[in-house]
Amino acid sequence: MSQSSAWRRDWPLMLILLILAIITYVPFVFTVINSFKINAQFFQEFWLPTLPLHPENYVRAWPAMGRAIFNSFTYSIPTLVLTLVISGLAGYAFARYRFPGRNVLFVAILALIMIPGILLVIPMFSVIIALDWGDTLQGVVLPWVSVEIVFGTFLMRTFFETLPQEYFEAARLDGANEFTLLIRIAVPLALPAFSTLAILDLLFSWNDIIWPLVAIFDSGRLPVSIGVLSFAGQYGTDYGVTFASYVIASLPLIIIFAFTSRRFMDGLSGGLSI
Amino acid sequence: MRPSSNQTVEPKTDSRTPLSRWKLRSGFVPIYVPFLFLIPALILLLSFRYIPAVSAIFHSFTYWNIPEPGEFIGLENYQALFDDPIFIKSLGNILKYMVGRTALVLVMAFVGAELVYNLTSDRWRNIWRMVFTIPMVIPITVNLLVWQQVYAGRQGMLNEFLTGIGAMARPYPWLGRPDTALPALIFIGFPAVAGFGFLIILAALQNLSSEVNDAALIDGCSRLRRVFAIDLPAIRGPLALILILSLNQGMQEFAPMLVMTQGGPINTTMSPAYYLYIQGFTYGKHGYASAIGTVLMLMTLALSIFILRMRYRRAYDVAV
Repeated sequence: MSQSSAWRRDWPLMLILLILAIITYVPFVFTVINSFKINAQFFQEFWLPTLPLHPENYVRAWPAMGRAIFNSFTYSIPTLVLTLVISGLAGYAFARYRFPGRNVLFVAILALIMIPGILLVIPMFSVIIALDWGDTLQGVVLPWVSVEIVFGTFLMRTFFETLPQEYFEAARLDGANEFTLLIRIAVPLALPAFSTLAILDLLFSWNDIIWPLVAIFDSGRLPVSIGVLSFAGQYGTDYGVTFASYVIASLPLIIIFAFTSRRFMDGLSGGLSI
Repeated sequence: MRPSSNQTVEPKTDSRTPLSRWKLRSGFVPIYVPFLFLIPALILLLSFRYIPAVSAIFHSFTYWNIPEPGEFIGLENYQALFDDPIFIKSLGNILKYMVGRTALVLVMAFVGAELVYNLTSDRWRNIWRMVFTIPMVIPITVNLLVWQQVYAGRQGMLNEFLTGIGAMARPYPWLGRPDTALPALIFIGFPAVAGFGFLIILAALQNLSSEVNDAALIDGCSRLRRVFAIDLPAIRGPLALILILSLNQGMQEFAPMLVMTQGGPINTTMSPAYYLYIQGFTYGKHGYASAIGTVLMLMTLALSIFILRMRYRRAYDVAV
């Protein structure tokens, strides 16, 4: 189809999409623009940028936000690694083997999606207190991993099931053992699904408020999700600095996503269903 | 290739008929292998999901103030709970929130996905998909704080816009009035296209076979009618998944209340999950909070089972 006839067909759709996109992005663009203003400029001009720019807002927001971002990475990276490994193993087991109890186990794991995370926060808090795991890495990470591997197992099973059985049989004929099959065949082919899971996991651990609020007592160890909240509480009347802290808090994931978006999309393109 | 000495070497004689391939698959792998792969997951789920779930239900029948052990008090927590006007109010609030939010998210995700799917140009399809994916990676707390600024009474975006175009004479504190606070929470992120649901629905549409669509068009089916007659039934599975995830999330909603309204004004945005948090971690009433959580879990389970039954009422799926 030629370029012009495609446009003739598509323009009403594109117009609606453009309007939806503008409404979606306005609040964020507003935040970025106003993060470069001092209060006097903000009260004078609400929507548009004003000169001179005030990048020092970022300098003021950085110490607290930088620390929170660092904290978030120290929790999120171990969570990510463990989630990928454990979900990969479990998803592979469900996808490639028939064994007694397979369906019961899978349903039992999937049913956890229906248990409200907030219900478990109280007994897990008692476990954390009993083990003296407050303010510790494992106290934050292991409960997070246990949340994420439920969906992760589901996602990885769905993906592993799409891999042609022939690859595995050929490798078995060549004498590969089960672990080799997983590492040398399944994992390389499943990289798109792993990156989808990685992004979803990162989004979850970066965003969770309730568990850090419960399991971390030392305010110097709080992750971004709460750090930005308490920063906004302190600097709420200084609009420019507060908006700068929002931008700083958002940047790490946007940068990571910029490099991984292709794989993320590929991983979801197989679709998910029940 | 290295010769392997363990049991996984395939007995080649079996692989003649298609049926024996199945037997073969389960036959030559030692039975412990799948369980070996499942052990890490099962240990974690047992310690941090299953046992805490049982513990929460058990402790809902106790007076419990961590780290003290619970003291059994029978149904007292539940009696108090259903006499608690704030909890009853929170149930009504969350019902409205859940239904409103899910309807908005589901409809807008579907509309957005159909718009993108119907584009002729592949390049633009990918661009729009990206446009509506990027907002997903903005931290939720930041999103909520930005939307607090949207709704703010003073220096709020919505007020500045509405008074700017002359639709309103005076700014209105959207989150500060009982009649608008809950609807304001529902409309966070409007138009709510960007999200996980959009990506799932778009992926499902793109996996539909183009032959069916072409045949429908040749038979004189309009594009709009095709959306309802072909697309919608064909992506029932993904839609049901998003419906369950969205309703469950709505039922347990917590962050918008914590960040934006603290349950107010006069408890009009109090949600059960946020009330659980307050009772448990502000007042230290962990048994009472567990009872709230157990009620919440029962409601979530009932809802999910209801949706799954609706979904599988007819036993076949449209094999497109």
